Formats: sequence, C-alpha cells, structure tokens
Amino acid sequence: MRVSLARRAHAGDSAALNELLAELGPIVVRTARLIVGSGSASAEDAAQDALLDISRDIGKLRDTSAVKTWALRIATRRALKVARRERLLRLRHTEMAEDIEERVPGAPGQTAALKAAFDRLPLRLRATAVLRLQAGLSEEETAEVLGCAVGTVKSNLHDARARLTAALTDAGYAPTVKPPEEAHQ
Amino acid sequence: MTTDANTLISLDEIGSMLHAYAGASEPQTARKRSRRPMRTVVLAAAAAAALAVTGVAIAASLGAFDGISAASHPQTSTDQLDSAMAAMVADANIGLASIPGDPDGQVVASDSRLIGQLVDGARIYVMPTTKDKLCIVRQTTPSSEEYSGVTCIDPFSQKEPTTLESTMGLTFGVARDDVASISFNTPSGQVTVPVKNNVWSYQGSGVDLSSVTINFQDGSSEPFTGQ
Repeated sequence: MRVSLARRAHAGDSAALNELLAELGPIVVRTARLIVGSGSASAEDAAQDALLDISRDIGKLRDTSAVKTWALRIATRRALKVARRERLLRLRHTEMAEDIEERVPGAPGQTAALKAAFDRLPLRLRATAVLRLQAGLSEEETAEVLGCAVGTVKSNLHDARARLTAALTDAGYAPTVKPPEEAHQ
Repeated sequence: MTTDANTLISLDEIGSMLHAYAGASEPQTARKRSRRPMRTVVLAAAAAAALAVTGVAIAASLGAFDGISAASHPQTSTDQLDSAMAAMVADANIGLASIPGDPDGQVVASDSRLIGQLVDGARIYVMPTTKDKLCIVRQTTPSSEEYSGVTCIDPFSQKEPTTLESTMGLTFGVARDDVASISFNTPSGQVTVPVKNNVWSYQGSGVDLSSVTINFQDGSSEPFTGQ
C-alpha cells in the first residue's frame, strides 16, 4: 500500500482517494466475504459500505502509514455486524454449495468441507483467521483491528485450528498437519 | 478437542482454502435471494398473552430450551408456526442437510414455542433440532421490509448468555433466564434494555455493537464477546 497515496487522499486529493480505493478494494472485499461467508450477498454490501466509510473518513485517518490496518478495521467491523445478523440465515449453506461449483470448479471434497467448517466457526475466530491468513496482517496488526491483545489473536488462531481439525476429522478427512512455525510466520 | 499445535491443521491449508474461496475481488451485484416470500398472515393473538408462561416443565426438547423459561411450557396452538413459516423452516432444513457431518441436525418445527415479540412487532419463536441445537425464528410483520429468518446455535448452556442481532434500526436478542438486561452505547448515550420473557430488543440506529454488556439478575455484568 503506497503511503504517499494515503497521505494525498488524507489531504483531500480526490484522484488519490480513487486510486487508494482501487488498491484497497480487493482486500476489503475478500475480507468481508470470508468473514460473513462467501455465499452471502450481504458480504458484498458490507464491503461496499466499508469502502464508503473509508472514502468518507479518510480525512480522520491519524496515521497514514497504517492505512491498510485502518481500512481492514473498518471492513472487519462492517463484516462482523452483517455476520451477526446473517448467522445461519436459511439460504446460506445452499448458496455456499453453489459457490463451490461456481468459484472453485473441481474443489476437492476436503477443501469444501474445510470451508463449511470455517463458516461455522465463532465470528471472532473466523475474523482472526481471515486477517492473519488471507489479509496478511501481523499478530500485532490483527490485534489492533480486532481490539484485543496479541495473546488473544494467538489463542483465537489456535482455537480455530483445533475446531477445524476436529471438524475435518469427524467428516472423514485427514487435515494437512504442519507445525505452525513452518507456515505464515 | 485437539490442542497440540503439531497435530492441528496447517495454517497453509486454511490459507489456501481462504484464497480459493475469496473469489472475485470486486464487489458483486447482490444477487436476488430466493427467499420464499412471506404470506401476509397476521396472527392476531396478542403477543402478551402468548408470553404468559405456564411454568409447567416440559420433557421434550429440554436440552435445546435449557435456560429459556419462556419456552418451558407444553406447546399450545399459539406456539405453532403458520404454513409460511413452516415452509421457511423446511427450506432451512434443506440447507442444514447440506452441511458435511450434519452437525446441527434438522429443525423440529413441530416443537416450536412462541416466546416473545420485538419492538417492531416481529415474533420470536424457538425450536430444537434433532441434535438439540437451539433454533430461533424471527417472523417479521407483513409490512416489514426485513426478512424472516432462522438462526440455529448451541443451547445457552454452551454459549454466550444472549444472542445479538442487528439490522436496520433494530437490535435484538434472545437471552438466558439469568440475564436481566442488555446495555450498549448509542449516539444519544448508554441505553439499557430489559429482558422480558427471554427476549430483548431496541429500535434505533447507531448502536455500538462493540459496547454491548450483559447485565445479570445477580447484579453482575460482563461484555458480550461475540460468538
């Protein structure tokens, strides 16, 4: 993320703001989609609302060097709000099944089962995993976005892995096991 | 549950799945949902009458209804879902059946209990699943722009003492018997909403969901942590 772009947008440069939104858009959309559940149309609404918030509040950004973390905090809040409302709404799983066909043709059963299990995680665990593993935030940045301690981020991720391991095992799959220090550190 | 990090699913596998399912990066046009339109059925019975709890213990479904006194009575005709809601629950069951491992079971609509009404007039029913999960059904009024919906969760003995849902201008939940009220911040200051017959609701915008506090009958409080 170009800090200079954030600085110009912060100062009121509308062209820079448009460019910044174009850069932030993909990560905001993916984050909202994965926290809410990728089959939910409301996830797209949450992402759009988050981008509007970012556009409106860019002038309030205190530290332009942390624009990505700031944007993801907005996106996460929007997504969590929608996710609480949407939790297990009746069509969610059928839409999710459609997505397996639409977006990941030939997805192995294990990946589909993992996604299904992921969508049933408590929201705080889902958000932690998305921010760490998909958005690429550090533990410290994830803690800042979620408003919790770094230790909570670690325990959330551990809890998520334990639940996903149990879910996959129960479904008859063998999760790939690898010590955490070998991945995403 | 497994806790040794060396026996847990790798972060790589989770990350790969997330990247696979993140999909296209641009916001999509919200696809029209095929929710079955609610028939304009108005159940005229006063909700207050429906909320009168007999106090008679029930044997069936006690696990799912644990901690919800408003549901602890034999089912009456007032507790039964109308045909439109029953059809919606049947749809929900199709979705539940598609989840690998069948963790939640099927919603038992015939065991429904009407426990309360929200400030916007929506009715709140609870019902168990065949695996003793707790399902909460919100039946909106015919004039409402909101959708009716089903949410299934672990029974209160295994989770947060209240649920929390927030839609346009309405924040509400179903709470355990020992919860007296729910507090949260709004633009006009802190608001405390009492729990009546296990249901609470607040109509107004700008609720700070990160500020939600659960106030218990014994005078203690704890923050809502968001499961």
